[in-house]
Amino acid sequence: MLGVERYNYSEHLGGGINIIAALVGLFAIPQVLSMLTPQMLPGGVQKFAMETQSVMTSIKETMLRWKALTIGSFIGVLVGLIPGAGGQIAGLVAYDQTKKMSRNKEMFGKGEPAGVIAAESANNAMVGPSLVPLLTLSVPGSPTAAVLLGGLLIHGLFPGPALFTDHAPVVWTFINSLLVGQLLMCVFGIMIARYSRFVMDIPEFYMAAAITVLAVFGTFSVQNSFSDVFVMMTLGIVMYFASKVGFSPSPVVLGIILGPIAESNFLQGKMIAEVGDGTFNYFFGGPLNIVLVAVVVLSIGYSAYSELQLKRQQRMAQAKDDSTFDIEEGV
Amino acid sequence: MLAKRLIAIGGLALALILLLLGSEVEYGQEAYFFPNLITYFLLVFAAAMLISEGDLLNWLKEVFDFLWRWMFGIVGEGDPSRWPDTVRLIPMFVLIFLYLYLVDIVGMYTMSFVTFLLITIIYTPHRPRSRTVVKSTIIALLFMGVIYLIFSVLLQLQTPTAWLI
Repeated sequence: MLGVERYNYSEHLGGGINIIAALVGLFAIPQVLSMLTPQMLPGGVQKFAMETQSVMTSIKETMLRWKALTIGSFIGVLVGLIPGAGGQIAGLVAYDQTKKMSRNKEMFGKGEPAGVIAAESANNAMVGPSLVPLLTLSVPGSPTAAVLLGGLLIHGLFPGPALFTDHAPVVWTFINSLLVGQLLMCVFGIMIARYSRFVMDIPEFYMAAAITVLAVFGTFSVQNSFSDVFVMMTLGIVMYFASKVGFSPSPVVLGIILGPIAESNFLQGKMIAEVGDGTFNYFFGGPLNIVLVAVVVLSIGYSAYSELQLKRQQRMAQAKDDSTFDIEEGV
Repeated sequence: MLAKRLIAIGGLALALILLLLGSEVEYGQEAYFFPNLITYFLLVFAAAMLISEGDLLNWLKEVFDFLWRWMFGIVGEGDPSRWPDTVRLIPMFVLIFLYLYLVDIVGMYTMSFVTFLLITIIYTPHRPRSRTVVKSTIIALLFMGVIYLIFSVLLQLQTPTAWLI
């Protein structure tokens, strides 16, 4: 917007970070490197024994635990509507709530199917609703939605309220294809599962080599640029080490996608504000601004509160364990 | 817990570096306004995270121990499911470096074939014998044939001119 180069200390960064290069680097390369570590290479191949009749048994098991399924689905929908929350949070909240409402609380964490059903149904249920903030506010509610946002932007479609009026056929095709996709995925998923398991028989080192080559070709083919390949590999290696200390690639992808949009809109707003009411009044005045700022503050505040609660619970559990140990030791 | 402390320290260091880089510019200061604003948020959150963990001196010791184990505790120390085996990945890093360095000199398809082959030979869990090398070579050739068909024949991808293809 200002036509000034910044933070480009290498010729490879002159054109910015390409979204495809970032996606491939952040998601594929850490996986490749993980495949080559000893804990992933016990014998080079993971063997799976195929169970017959497992589809009907699992459907029956799930239907018998309708309460966990309902709680998980409901919480998944709610969490999916919150921008940036993601499937992990949905799964954890659903698991926690199901555990609280269950009669077999002590069995949770020891293979209780209700816990798995709640977490997985929440994880799946949040996928559809996560598109609501994506298509209306341009804020993805999940990593998958972030990738979809990247896809829409590549095709020159900027999500937001105007998307439904300016490109209504595209939006409805997009939504309907998701519905059809779910049905087809169910049919083909069950049909292909029998054969797709053979992919698991491919040794990890062959998979790692194939993914590395495919990542290089895929990234290079976007703009015929080796700079993208360098950026992709660098991001991938950095992400591999970062993931070992708990970093997730999804927020990085969100930053790369949303950063330029946020910056250009912010600078536009700032310019308008400087000739109008002033920056503070422009950004913090009016009901819509106040509501959005309140949502942001509440969202951050809730995260901080949850974190503190979790730490408190961990400290209490630790204290309980210590006292039990003392009693057993006869102190 | 330790991971969060590392994230806090990393975030703080990154924020300080970015602020330093964003403040010492000759022209175009306006272009650094938004990144600096975001960096202030990062600084605040990282500082809050740092403070909420408490016991700063103990932290630094734990962080130092963690980094020490991470870099040098390769075999037999730490939890192997958490600490990366950095040494085992060194050949892969060297291969990636050579691949990227030589790809536009030797040729994209040739270097991809060589990289594929070397990864499979180095990282095979069994001892590499002539039979396994031949098997890996055949698989690498077949794989590169498919890649050539997709990218060169079907997608008409223009690769840089080099010694070989």
